Amino acid sequence: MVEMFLSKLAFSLLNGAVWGLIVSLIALGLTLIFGLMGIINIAHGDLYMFGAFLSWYIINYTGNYWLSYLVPPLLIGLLGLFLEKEVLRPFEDRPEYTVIATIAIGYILQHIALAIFGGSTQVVRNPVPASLHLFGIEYPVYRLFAASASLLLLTVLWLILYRTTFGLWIRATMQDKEIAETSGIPVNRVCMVTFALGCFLSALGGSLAAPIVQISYLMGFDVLVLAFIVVVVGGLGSLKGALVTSLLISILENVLSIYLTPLESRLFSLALMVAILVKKPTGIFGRQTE
Amino acid sequence: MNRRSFLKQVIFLGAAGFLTYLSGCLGQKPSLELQEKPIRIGQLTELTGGLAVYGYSNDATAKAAVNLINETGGIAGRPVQYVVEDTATNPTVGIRKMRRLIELHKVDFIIGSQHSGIAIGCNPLAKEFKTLHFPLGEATSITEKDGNRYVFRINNNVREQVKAGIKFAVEELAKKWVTVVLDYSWGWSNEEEFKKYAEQAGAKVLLSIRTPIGTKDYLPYLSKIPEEAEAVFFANWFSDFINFIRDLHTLRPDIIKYGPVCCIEGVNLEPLADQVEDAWFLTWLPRNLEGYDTEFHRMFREKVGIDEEGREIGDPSKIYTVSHCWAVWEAIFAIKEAIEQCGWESKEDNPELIQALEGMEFKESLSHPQGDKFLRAEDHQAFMQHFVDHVENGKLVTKKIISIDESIYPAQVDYTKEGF
Repeated sequence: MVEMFLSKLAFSLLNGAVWGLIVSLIALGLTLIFGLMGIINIAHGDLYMFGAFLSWYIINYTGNYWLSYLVPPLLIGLLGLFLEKEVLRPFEDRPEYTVIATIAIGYILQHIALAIFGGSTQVVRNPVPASLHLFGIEYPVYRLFAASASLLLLTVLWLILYRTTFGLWIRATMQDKEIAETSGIPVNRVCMVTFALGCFLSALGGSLAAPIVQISYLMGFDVLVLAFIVVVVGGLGSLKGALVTSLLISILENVLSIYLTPLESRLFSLALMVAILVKKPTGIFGRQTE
Repeated sequence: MNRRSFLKQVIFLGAAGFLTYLSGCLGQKPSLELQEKPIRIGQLTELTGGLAVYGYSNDATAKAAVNLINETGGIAGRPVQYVVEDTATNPTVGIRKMRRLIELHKVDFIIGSQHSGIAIGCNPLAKEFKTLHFPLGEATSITEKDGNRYVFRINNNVREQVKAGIKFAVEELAKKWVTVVLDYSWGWSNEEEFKKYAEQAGAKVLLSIRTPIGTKDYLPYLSKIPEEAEAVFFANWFSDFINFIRDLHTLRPDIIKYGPVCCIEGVNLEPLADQVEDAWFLTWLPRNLEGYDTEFHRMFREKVGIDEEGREIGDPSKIYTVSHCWAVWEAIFAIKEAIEQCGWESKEDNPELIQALEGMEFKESLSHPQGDKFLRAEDHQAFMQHFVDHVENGKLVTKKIISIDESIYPAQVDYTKEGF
């Protein structure tokens, strides 16, 4: 009995950690864009959806998975450069306008996907169909691959932010745009590249998740809600917060599901998130603002 | 032209016009005005939103049916006009669009929506505006407590489906079951009906799992399936189904899988070949023509533009919801048959039309390619044959046809006692 419980607990911890890492990759782009530019990017989920659709398209026509992880994020990143410069920059420092603009971008992306790919769900074949026997349960190897890739990308992102000059510019711009500009930092370029990086990450999340979650033109909404929960509870603009919260919410839901129904475990984990926000409105790692 | 000849001509034309009007009023044949007045059929469908894959097929099917009717003389000699409104798979929008169809487009009949919640919301409007409504949603209550005398369902419902398939499921598949359904009304209905009929048939449901819509990770929930379970009955759709079947295949590749066709409508099974292999699906019309290769089914596909594998002719990336969209076709032809039988001319004649439809039988034909069926007078619910498909080498293969009799259950309401 105890052995069975421990086995289930170990499985839940592993599965929760794997999902947490995948979710954190998607949420990171969102928190980066908000932290730097104050833009609440409602189109984030739809950029993720577009990344997944492009991956599906590339796999269908080339059969090359590596290409499907590389090309969509680059294309969506380029789209991000354009969107920041032409659509969002005119509304700089007016967050309410950027919300409306990104809602519009999201709708446009959704309807382009609907017109091109249709309303049906598309499936990407699992590139690693094997499973491992872990804690008494067969565990899909691809999930371990996706989680490892997320971990690697998070590390690279951390290195960029904390070990490169560009990362220093990003952090300086996040702290105070005006002082950063007077110090000679090309703030506009930093914002443009960071927005593109956020878009790149969301599309990469879509490409990596494509063989696990299925692809439809509305798939972005589910992710957007989860990513917002993670970003808000973790603390707006905090990379560490996004990672910790996505791990927390995912592991908690998995562990609770040992004894609770799926709905109850989701309710419980969301109630905990609300409790955290009541206790600390700026989020777990959020900074107090004036 | 002088004044006198002008007056003569005016008097002559006036007299001719009056005589024409008089002959029309004498009613020797339908007036020219009526013959030219189109019958307007509206469809509420999901062109966008979560059920967009159904909307695409339903819209194309309705257009094909109306084209065919107009090419072959219309309904009672009158042309048919088709109007479509998009519900966005949203009950609030759907109900608003129902009003729009009635009040703005002045439609005579409404087909759809596929969404049960929208259909339930629209049923009272059908009665309020005295407009016949043919919803396509499958919640049982649409033709029970949520229906009324103006609502007819030409397709099947959850109870009918579960009952039709239960003998096969229990006698030929397994006795010890687990149910995994989406946590909303359609899933609950499937779970409840399956449990009820399975236990009546001598089987046991060991565990019932309800999962929230949009669940990405099924492993934590499916890991609870008891070792002794032999089979899983599922009711989920689109991405939920695909996530579910992938995780179930990883955990229990040996377990028997059985569920309604709604789970895979419009889904390309090729990339899922391993996971869905050996699964069973109860369908209302096979996706592959060879599963029910009749002259009329073949012609129906040809008219709509569906190939032998359920794909759009000319665009194989689009997979039709073949098991559902036939109901749009059949509803339009049922309207035609009832109008021609009772001599309906306008909404004023709806009581006669309703009485004509109550208990109406439909013989398998180009108008009814799914097969024979009848609309039960009491609850306005149609009963029909069902099919069982098995996935073999990644392809749906029809293994069984279930007769109409196996799907019939006692009527729970009697709308014939309700006024108009």
